[in-house]
Amino acid sequence: MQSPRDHEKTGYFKGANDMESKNNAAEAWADSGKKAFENFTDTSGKIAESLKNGDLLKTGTDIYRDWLNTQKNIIESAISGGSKAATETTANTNGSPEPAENKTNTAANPFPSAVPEKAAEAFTELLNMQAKAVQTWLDTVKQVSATAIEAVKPATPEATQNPFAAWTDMYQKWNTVYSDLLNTTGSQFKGTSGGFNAFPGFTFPGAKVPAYDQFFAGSQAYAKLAELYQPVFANWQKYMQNTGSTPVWDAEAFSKAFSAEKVRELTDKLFQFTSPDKFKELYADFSKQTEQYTAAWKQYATGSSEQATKFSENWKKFSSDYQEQSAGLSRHFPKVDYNSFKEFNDFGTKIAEQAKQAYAPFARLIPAGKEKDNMEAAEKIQQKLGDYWNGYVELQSIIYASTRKAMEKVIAETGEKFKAGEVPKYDDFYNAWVNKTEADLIKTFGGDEFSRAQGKLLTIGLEIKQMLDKQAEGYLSVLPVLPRSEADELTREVHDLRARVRRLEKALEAKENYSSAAVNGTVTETAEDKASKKSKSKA
Amino acid sequence: MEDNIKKMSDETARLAKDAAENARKLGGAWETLKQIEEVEIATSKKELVWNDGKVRLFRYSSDARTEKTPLLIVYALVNKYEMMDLQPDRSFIRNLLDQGHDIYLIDWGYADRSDRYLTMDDYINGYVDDAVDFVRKAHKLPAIDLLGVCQGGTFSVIYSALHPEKVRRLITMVTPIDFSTEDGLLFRWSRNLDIDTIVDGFGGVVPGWFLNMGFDQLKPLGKVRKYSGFVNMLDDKDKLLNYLRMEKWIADSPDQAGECYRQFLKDLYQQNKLMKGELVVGSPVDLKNLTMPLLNIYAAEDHLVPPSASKPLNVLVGSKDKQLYEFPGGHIGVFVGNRSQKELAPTVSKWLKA
Repeated sequence: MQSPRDHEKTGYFKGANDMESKNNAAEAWADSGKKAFENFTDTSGKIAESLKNGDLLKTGTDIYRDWLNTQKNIIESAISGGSKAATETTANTNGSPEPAENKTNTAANPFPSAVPEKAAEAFTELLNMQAKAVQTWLDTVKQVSATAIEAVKPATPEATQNPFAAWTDMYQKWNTVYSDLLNTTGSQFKGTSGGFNAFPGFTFPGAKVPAYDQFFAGSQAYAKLAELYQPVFANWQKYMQNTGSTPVWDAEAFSKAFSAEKVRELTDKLFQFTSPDKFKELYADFSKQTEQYTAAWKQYATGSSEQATKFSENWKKFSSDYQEQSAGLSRHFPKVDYNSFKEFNDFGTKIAEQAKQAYAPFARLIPAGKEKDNMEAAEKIQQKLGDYWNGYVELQSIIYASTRKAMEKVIAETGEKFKAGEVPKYDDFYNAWVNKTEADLIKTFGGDEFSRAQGKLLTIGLEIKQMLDKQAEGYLSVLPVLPRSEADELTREVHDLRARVRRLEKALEAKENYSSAAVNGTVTETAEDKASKKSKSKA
Repeated sequence: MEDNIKKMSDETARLAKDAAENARKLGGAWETLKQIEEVEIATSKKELVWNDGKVRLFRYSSDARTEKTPLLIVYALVNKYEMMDLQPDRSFIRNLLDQGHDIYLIDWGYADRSDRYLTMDDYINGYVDDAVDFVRKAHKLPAIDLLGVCQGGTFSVIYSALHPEKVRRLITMVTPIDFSTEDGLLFRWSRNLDIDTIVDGFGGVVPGWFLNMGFDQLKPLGKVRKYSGFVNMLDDKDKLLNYLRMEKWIADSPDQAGECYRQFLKDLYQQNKLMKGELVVGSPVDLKNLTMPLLNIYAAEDHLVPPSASKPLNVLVGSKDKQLYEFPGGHIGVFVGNRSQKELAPTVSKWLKA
């Protein structure tokens, strides 16, 4: 019996299961994080209360000093405890993944023994990130407190002229701190150097994308939208300034109260789009490959045995590099990502044209055979890459048009609420944006234009993948490995044989059943009998 | 002006507090998550009774069996059957077991390159037929009850039309039959797909992540929408567990045998051959051969298989005893929603007992 994939045995948070002590390093880290958040929340509450009471000038300095002192203690305690734990963890991994005996310290290795070498790295990384996050709060709250104090100072000429400027500034800073906070919290789980990502428990069984990556992509969109809410709120503030004397509702200003660039960035976050740099990298990979290939042939064409030896060496190097590069290339395809690169489309077409001009005359020297096939395939792939960029830009422009229109509607509706004296909560704004954008996108996705563009892009991407696979097989043919196409032929043979055995078994069984039923006088006509009769009568 | 300043103070303070509160919840996530050691789904006890390669047939354990005719569940090749038994209080299967039914289920396993040439004929006239024969023989019955879900429902319909003598009664749940519908995005997109390039481009095995990418796109802001709700459940272990169970199921998406995928997409999604009476799976599939009692269940708000794709079955079959049942929910809500537990499973049981 073939063993099924046993997901049940996969601990969801294996890292957590492996923890041996409540007082270990990871606990210390989590505890410090919790305390830091509590301190942040507590301080926010105090500041908000002071703002309402109008006594921030009097209490602001005390609030800030308390917050700073508490925060300092938390960080110092976490870093000293954490460094100790990390050092001991590292020591434990030298020769033994288990905690050293006779140690009285309870900071045992908090990570799965399967990846001990990553433990210290991951823990240090977490502490650094946490310290960075806390530093961000510290700086921002300091600024917020200072701004707020300025705002309520009654006598400064600036405040008299425009008391709202300081408020606007303060609100923007709050937005920034929140956005930074989410990003930093997200990166705590994601990791930057691979330390935490090495833990198997942080990926859903069977999932290609780590769950936390998915979740924090959502949180980043949440934070990104805050940047779009900010000018809306600022407009409201402007409106409020005017209502005291001459009420002016500037609907146009509201509808323009967001930047198209930010909507695009938000859309990128939504779809977790790749960056233009990845495409450049992809194209560079491919150009390098073609360059090496033509260089190898150039040497071969000069004819000397010395050159032939060089060719052979270059060929080996090229084969090895090719495998590495094509693995990189294959990873990029076929992913339907959306991004804006009109300029990259032009760039791709130009490069393909130049490459073609460079090696087309040269290809005449190459005799027919696998090498020539590969050369021609390389050219086709470059052409296809150009087509891919075209399709990519087309699809992406459809998506951007849809998300931008949705945002315009949301901003206009929110503006109406402000005008009516209602101040929507950020979450309300967020939910309105989610609902409107999704409804519009679904409508767009249901259109022929999107469906055709999507189908075309997918086809081109997979055609490129097929070409790369074929090329890879060509290069592998000189090595003692079984290529996929041959393995597939064997698989087909096995499949056909199994199907034949199954048909024979069923026919035999049917015959036995028929005989037995005939003896008992209970014969009934089966579907197979009917089909058999039909085919006989046709014959 | 004073009023305005006060209002701005209040609103700014409220925004600051909201932000801090969300930050606190995020920061406390670790605390809640560390209490969760395993995210278990499909915990109802079952016994492996038959297998062929990766395909396994399970019989669910129960002390409450009263029904003589066993029910065989044929799930889709897409995603896994665990959705029908997600957790003890949200389990369609457990609910039927409690009503006295004897339940068998086919687990398709995880197709890999060695399965790339498996066709619809292999799945329907091979695995499903073998499983049906096993259960028939085990219970010494000429025919058993069949329940097909989504794509598994289409398979069950085709099977019942080809082997009507082995199926006593047929239940279909959220099952696509009319693929010419304009209501679902999957149906529309499929018409612009080059299926041969997809199957061959992926080397004969269509990856589960590729299918999930399409499903995600049906509700493009689904993951972002989850965010606001997720933050609010971070300090509630039970709610968080419900969420994680569902996420676990969604992420577990098996790859598809290329030849079966090719025929399913080309013959059904693109050419609608089942409706037209032109489908051949081993032999021609004539839905008029389907004469056993039929209960066809569809979900009113199904965005994957819209009602217009499911309902025409009742017009096409030869059955005299046929019922159409509308469930007020979505494709997944049919199995895990509260209403499903209270209403749908008892209805199915009642129909089977009638």
